[in-house]
Amino acid sequence: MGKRDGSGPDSGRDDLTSGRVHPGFMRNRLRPMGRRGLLTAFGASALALPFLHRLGGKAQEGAPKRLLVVFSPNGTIPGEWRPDGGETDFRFRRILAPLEDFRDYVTVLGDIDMRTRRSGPGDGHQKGMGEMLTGVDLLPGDTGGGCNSCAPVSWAGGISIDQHIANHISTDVPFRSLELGAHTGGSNIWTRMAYRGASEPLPPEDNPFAAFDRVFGEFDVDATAAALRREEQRSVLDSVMADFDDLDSQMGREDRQRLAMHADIVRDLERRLEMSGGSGFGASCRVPDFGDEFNHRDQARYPEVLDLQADLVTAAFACDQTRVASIQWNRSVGNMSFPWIGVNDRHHDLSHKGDGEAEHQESLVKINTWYAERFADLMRKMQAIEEPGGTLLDNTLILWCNELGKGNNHTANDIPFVLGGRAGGAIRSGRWLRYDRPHNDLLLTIAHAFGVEDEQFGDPRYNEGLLPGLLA
Amino acid sequence: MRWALWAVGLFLGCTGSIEGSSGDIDVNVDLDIDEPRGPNAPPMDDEGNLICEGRHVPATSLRRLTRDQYDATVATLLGDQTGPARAFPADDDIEGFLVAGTVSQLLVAQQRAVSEAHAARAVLDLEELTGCGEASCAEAGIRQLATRAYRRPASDAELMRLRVVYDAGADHGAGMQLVIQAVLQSPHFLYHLEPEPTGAETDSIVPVAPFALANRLAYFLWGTMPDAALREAAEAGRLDDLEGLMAETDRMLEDGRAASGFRFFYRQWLKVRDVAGVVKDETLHPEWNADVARDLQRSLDRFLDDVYAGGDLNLLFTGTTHYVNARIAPFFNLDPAAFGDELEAHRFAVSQRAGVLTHPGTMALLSKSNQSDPIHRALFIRERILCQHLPPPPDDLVVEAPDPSPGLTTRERFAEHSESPACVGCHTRLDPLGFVFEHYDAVGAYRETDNGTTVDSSGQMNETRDLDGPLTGADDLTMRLGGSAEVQECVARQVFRFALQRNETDADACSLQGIDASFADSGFDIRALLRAVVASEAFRFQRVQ
Repeated sequence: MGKRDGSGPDSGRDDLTSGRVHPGFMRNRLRPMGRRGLLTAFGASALALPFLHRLGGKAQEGAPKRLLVVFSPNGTIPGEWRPDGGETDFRFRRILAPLEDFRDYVTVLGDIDMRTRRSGPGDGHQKGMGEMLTGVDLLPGDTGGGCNSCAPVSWAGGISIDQHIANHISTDVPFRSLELGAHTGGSNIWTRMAYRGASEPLPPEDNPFAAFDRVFGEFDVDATAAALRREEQRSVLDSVMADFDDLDSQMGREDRQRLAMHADIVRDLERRLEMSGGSGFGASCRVPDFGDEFNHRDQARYPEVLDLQADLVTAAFACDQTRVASIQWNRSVGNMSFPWIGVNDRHHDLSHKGDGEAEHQESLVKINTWYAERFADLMRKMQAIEEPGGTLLDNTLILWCNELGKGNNHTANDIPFVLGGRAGGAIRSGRWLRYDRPHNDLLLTIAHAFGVEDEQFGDPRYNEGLLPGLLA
Repeated sequence: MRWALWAVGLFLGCTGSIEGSSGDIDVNVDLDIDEPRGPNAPPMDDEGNLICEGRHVPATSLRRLTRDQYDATVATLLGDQTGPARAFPADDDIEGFLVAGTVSQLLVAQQRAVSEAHAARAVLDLEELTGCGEASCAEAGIRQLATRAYRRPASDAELMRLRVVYDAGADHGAGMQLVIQAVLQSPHFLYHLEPEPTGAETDSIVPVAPFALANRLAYFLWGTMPDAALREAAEAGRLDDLEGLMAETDRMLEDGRAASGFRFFYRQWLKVRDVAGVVKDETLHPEWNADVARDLQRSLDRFLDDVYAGGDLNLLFTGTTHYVNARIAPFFNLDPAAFGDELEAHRFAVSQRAGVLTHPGTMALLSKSNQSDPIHRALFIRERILCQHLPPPPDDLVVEAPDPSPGLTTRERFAEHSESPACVGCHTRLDPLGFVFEHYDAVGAYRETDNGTTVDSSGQMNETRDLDGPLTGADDLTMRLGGSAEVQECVARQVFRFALQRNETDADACSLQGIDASFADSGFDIRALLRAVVASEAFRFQRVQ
């Protein structure tokens, strides 16, 4: 067992067959995964050599850029969200005050409107959620949310920006992207923001322990076991792939396409198998310690779940398991209460309260401020990871979005977009910028920050061009 | 047919004002326009009657096993009841029914992990699983497993491939373990595959192939894979004609598995599956907890099993035998001391508890955590029992739901809906209907007073074909539902959606007309409805892509 120092008792074979990591196995917080550790883990295995070669190659190039999208629901309170002052001498008001420590890394974007909401079917929350990252209308369909004569509505009609960027920057790492969440609910238009393509919403993993096992569960299985497992799995996946191939001649055209998409993902799994044993980027890779598993559906533990998901994304980036991730905090129309900050009323109910109801407005400020603290936590965790060219935060861009501008009127105007980090220097951060532009322009500008220099993104009707002054 | 266009309307409790809009609000516009007919719809004569000559079915798309189906199938196939698919990404919710959605990296990774866990458990008793515990009969074991899992005979090519997988294992057990993993990740297992005949012309209508039809039948009636007898019937060509298909249907409906299959239907349709997760305000309702919620769900299951066994649709709304134990007795307003731990049958007066709607599980589900919820109770009737839809709230409208306040009844707090022009459009369809359930509080217990005032459960039904008029209370409503043609047709639509795992379309009009007629002829017998759905063109035929 080539396990690294500090890992638990040998339970490798059990883990292989159960598909789960044994409790206590490899969940030690901040255990260094240096180059030396990697060599120990892999020994002189021939299978590991191409991987080490890959690592070496990358170290010379400098750290890659990463993108993280986070979401909180039900709009904000604009009067407490918008900073005072000018572009660089701005002062945060209450909601964004927790970002003060990171003001050089923060870019607040005012008056970005979700103009896609002007067309297509769906209600305000549905459109807000489905169009937020795709920049296209929802499709007509048969999913609930319509009425007898409202156009019936379905999923968004295009790829989301995170997936589009992943297609360019995250293809030679084990996971093209990671979709994580907390209390995201069942599968419908209000609960999905990442889209692999039109009508292909990607589900977030709400269980941080399952997500951990998926990303790091096979991270440092010993070389012999890993080789055996690869051999066995290859034979299983070969058979599965041949079954998909057989179906080609028997199914109708559209069904063939659906099956082909599934087959592509199985092929991805095979590809990851070849990379297994774990990747790792320089000396900064740390496998987080998730402690004892608890019920992630317990609302009282929502803060802990968010903290674990933040740890997981930070580690997955630092260990170069993926370069694109999203964390969906709750869901559109999410109706949680926040007793740990003294808010016992529920979020969506509160978001419908009138502007004059001071007590309820105060509760909403508290909720949004609490989410700002979570955003700050993410930046803090990333700043603690040193990388070539600074820290992980320097090399990452975090986009914080919301499906609405303000809850009680469901407005699509002035969506509270905030950026954290610098995308490897591509973003001029530390500013309060006011636009009056469609949100497609923001998505396009983010693509450019990652070297994806398209002419437009999403629905061409709502593209005016790059947001001025945002890119370095 | 008239097509009601609700141009602007509201959804939840609301006292509205439209920000930034100066003009009048256009509420409840009823436009008289011809309903557009979808693709492949059967023609109509001048009087609007369907002309059902020839075959009419819509284009449909591939379905995958839902989470429930995955778990039920593995339970049948491997005897493994662990039910791990509930951790898969949620199925899509389409008009209340669950359909397996997008295939993501996350799902495929989970399917792999789950197949490995299942395989590890299954090989502990290979003798039991394949009738063979040693390498000499591996081939037979693999054939049996694959044929059952794929719900059709495995081909020679498939068996050869699985043999290669088997050989990658170090010994018989390890080999079979890998075979099980491969089978459980195969598209032949994961999908409801309905192959098209070779060379069939696009848009031609062909019978669903025998094994695919057997598959439809088994998942509709049993919620799991076909048994050996059904596979044999398919293989022998006995499903090719209507008579043989119905004989097999009758056999399956007689089988005990039909009751558990029907559970999958009503748990989704009537949201019974959500009852166990209901949470209440702990300060106001300390008597509520997770065990209560779970027992109320079990009690509902038992009631609905009786409805299936009794067969009469009316029982659903008017049955007065419910299942009670000491834990949930207080929510039925009964003395817990009179009951033990086990659920036992208890007869109620119609005025207190009749049918599924006034069961405390349903009433608690359709409540806020701290008060009754007339809006969602009415919405449930409109959407699930009448198959109607209400529009979402419009953009840029400030909406405020009334909070509980001392001295006011729920009814009084919602009164503003009927006064504000912005609300009245939708809320005339909701509030007066929801008020008939005011005798049931947030936890579903019967009450005579609300905030010190005697409960007024009078109400009004409107915008229906045959139920409009004043109502004196919940019992008045429930006694009339079973006799309503609109309700009967809605129940038939719900069964149809569940059976085909899709919404009905205009192309299904002839199938639906036939189903409605058979259901009526039977005097609204639920088994007759299930049979009629099986006999319909929509169930037996497919359109070539």
